[in-house]
Amino acid sequence: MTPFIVTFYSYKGGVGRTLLAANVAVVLARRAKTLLWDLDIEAPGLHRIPDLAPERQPAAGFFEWLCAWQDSGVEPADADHAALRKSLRRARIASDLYTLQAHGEKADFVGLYQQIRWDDFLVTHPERGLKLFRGALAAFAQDGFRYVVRDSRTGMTDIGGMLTAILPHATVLVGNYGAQNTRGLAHVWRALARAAEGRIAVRDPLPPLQRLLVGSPIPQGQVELAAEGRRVWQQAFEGLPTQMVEVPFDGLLFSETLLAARGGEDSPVTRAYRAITDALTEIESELRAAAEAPTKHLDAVNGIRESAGPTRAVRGERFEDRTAGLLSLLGYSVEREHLVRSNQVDLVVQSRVVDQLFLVECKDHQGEIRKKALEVFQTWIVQARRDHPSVQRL
Amino acid sequence: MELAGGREVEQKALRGQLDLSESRLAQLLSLMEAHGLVARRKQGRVSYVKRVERAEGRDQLAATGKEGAERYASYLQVA
Repeated sequence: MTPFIVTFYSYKGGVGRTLLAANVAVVLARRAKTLLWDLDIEAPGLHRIPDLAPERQPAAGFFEWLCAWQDSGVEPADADHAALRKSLRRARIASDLYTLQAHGEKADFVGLYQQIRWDDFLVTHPERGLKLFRGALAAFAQDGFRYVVRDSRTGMTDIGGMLTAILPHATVLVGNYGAQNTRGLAHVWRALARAAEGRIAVRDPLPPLQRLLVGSPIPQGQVELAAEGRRVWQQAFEGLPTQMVEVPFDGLLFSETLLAARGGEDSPVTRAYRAITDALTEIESELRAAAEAPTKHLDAVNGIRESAGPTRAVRGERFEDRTAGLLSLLGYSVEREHLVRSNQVDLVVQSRVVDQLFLVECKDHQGEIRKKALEVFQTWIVQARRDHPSVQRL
Repeated sequence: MELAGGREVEQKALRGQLDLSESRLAQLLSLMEAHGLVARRKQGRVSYVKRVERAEGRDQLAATGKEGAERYASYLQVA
């Protein structure tokens, strides 16, 4: 099962983002196996939170693993993810909560940081970084993690962009009501609209990104101040999204106590943590339901054809007509119902300018397309390329 | 057709010819843009669409093994 991946991001530091991520991870771990991953790469600190202390300190963390991968010279797909899994540690505070620290307890953090050629896999060859992180997530999935919670770096960075826009199912944007936080966070909120509208192809096969806004920390007992803050956010975010939670300030946060584990169940802070967790699990449930509901996904190519009633078939045909019309307008030559290596393809689309061929299948479905269906489509491409090497993709 | 000739056309004009709802056409064009098949721009309230001769989107990148080649920080910029 693919883990549900959540990134906690703040434009500026000092708003309680890391503690929030840790507390939400504690609550999620009550439901299922959860990994809390420190990716605040220039200011890591999850391992300093007393309540996250593992039973046994890891000798190495993510940085050491990156160094080893770099030294090995292998491609990201061949990275030794088993070694990374050895760095995971169970937190004493919750039996199903694990952490992946940035580095080992006795490591020279600055030396390690400087040793890693971040630009190589985040700027020069960003696709390598993506494969590396996706490989790690796949390895965690094999270990049975249902939730992966990542604490992201602040600001406008390449790793921040990957962690907030490309890799997660949901991104939690955290900030206080001050001008610096508000302007920066509102900018990122708007920037992530592309991912939220499903317009970033490299997110494939993830569904559109879900964004959750969290005001933190909000002073308690200062009603007018909080109301003014909300008014400022209302303007900056062009109307506050419905899914917004406030985390009240609590002096106990200075001790970095994980209140979700140790605080009273009814404290305002604990209630806020629960509200955020509930919002995330609701998103997760909806995504899983959409992926698993038998009438709402492609179980397999043939399955969808058999289950499609006359109405859907007619609707599908009209949609095919329109797609063919649009592609023709764009200057492609379009052939309908073409047989490609014994596979009946809805549309075969050829560029009149460059040597490119596309196979187009029009399907009426909602939710994620299952891996099996994608594998079937992939075999079509492989077969078609025997006759038409210019076939791009389906 | 104008698009086939590589000229920009108004998105509204496309809609009229295709009998598609505004949201459906926008969805389709977004998908095509994400795959590097068309380019769009907005001038005031008018949206224009143009066919891209050499796909620079995901398909092209995937074909060259450089999927995801856009700098990730750019995803934090407002388009």
